[in-house]
Amino acid sequence: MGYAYGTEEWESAYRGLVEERLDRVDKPYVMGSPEWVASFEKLVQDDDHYKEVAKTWEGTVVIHILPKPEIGLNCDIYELMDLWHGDCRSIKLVPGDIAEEADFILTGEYERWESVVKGELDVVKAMMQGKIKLKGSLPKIVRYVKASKRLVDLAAQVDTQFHTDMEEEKRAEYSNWFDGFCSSFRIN
Amino acid sequence: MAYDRSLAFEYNNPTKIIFGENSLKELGPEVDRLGCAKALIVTDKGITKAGLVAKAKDALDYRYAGVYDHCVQDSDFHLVNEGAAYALEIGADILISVGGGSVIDTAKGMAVVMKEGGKLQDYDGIQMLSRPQTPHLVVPTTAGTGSEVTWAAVIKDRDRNIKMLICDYHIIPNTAILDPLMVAGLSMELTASTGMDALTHAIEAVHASESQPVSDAMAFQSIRMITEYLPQCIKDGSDLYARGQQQLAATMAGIAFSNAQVGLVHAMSHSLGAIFGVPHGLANSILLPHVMLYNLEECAPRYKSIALAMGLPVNQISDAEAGKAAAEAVWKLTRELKIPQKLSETGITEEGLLEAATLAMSDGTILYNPRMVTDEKELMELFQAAW
Repeated sequence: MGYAYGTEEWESAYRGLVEERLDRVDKPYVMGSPEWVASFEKLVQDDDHYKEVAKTWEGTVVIHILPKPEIGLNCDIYELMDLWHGDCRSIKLVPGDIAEEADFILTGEYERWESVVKGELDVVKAMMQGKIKLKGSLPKIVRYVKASKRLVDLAAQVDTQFHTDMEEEKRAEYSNWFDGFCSSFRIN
Repeated sequence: MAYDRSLAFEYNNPTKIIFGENSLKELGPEVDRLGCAKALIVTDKGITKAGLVAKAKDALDYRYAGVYDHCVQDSDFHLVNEGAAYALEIGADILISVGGGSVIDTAKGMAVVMKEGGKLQDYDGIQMLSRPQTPHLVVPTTAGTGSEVTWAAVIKDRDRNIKMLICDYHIIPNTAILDPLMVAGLSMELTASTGMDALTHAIEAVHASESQPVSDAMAFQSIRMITEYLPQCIKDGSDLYARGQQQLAATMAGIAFSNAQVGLVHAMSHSLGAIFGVPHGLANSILLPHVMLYNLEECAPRYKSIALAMGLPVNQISDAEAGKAAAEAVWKLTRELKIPQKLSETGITEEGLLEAATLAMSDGTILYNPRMVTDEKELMELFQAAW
């Protein structure tokens, strides 16, 4: 059955799993994994530059990575960023129906997000070219472009393992684990 | 004027363009080519009164299914949703927009609601659509907006008093029919202000941060044609050759900015339109030379190329001096066209400028200005200079 999102049980199990994986899993972390998301969360929470440029920001943002079975990514990844007045309250993986309620949703293929994290693709340009779709108010995003860019810079600082660079055996092993994780936490 | 080694771009221009006197007769065959059978004309009452809707209806013949003529300057969500509901009610499968920018943008929004359902407000975002929308064929009756070939629709949200910018490749019209006879009756005032709108599109496409060689080709040719033929359109509105050249220039400027984007002039004029209802072309016309001078330090070589395209003798002077000459030439042109030179002539209040400056900071186009705007104060200085 798995854990039901929104319950204390889900939250406790999720945080426990993240802590356990941060201890156990070697870096670099696979992009979009719970440990990768937690590392990103810490970087944002500790970043004074982000706090300054986002000090009046209010709203939740979801990074949505579309599934790509060819590289072992079988389910959608929704990273929910709860951001408020320069604080990063949390960044975590959530189920799709929860993600849909966010103020902003940025959706793209895995390769696009990989390019963004590698610093090869400007996220604003990607939105304009349709490589990443934005659901939400453009005027609000425009006022916080510096904050958006800072988030991308911080994501680039996470020691990242990309699915596309993984050896086949390791990728299959991770894929199996991640499918089980999604099922347990009803992520998909 | 050189391009960076890091130049990387995408160019998208899917609209079929049909040009020529009497090209309106292609309307029916184009509907057939797009696999459609029941056409709804989207327009406004002024266009209907001018007899242009009757011409389009004749050209459509048996494919004509009805007309929605409630469009107004600065289209809004309510009209888009109402128009789409009417289109669905009569079973229309293609939209024919006959009009200027507001009419075309209304039809772009209607095409989305007809295909996707719900209300246009549900599609607030960028590139959210994932499939072709209801076919849309455009017959422009002004020569300036370029909306017949662009991926953007500006729709007013009257509740929040802002102009929403909806951008998506899937709202680019399928076909544009540019018939000089459809703009022959345009008033001198509208010819001038919409013509300056086109010049603003071309110049902003050149200085925008996403400018690139292919869009530049369109933009510079557009600048050459507007400089030569817009004054002639004012001198003799019945000169169909000049009218046609101006029409083409406006469409080419539209293609240019749809790829290269626009900058600060548009951010500021969108705000003036939203708050004070200043016509878009007029606001652009007044603000353009001021923004060129503001941007000069960032893109003087590009402005020298613009000066050359305008036929100015600037080969022997510095890029910065040539840039100033280009801005002066824009002022000279607007004086020749006899359109307002200052914002104070447009009926807006000086007290409202701060609100406009604040709103302009949220406009998506500001991201593409070559000189980064740091705060509202800079915009206030520009607004006051144009006041």
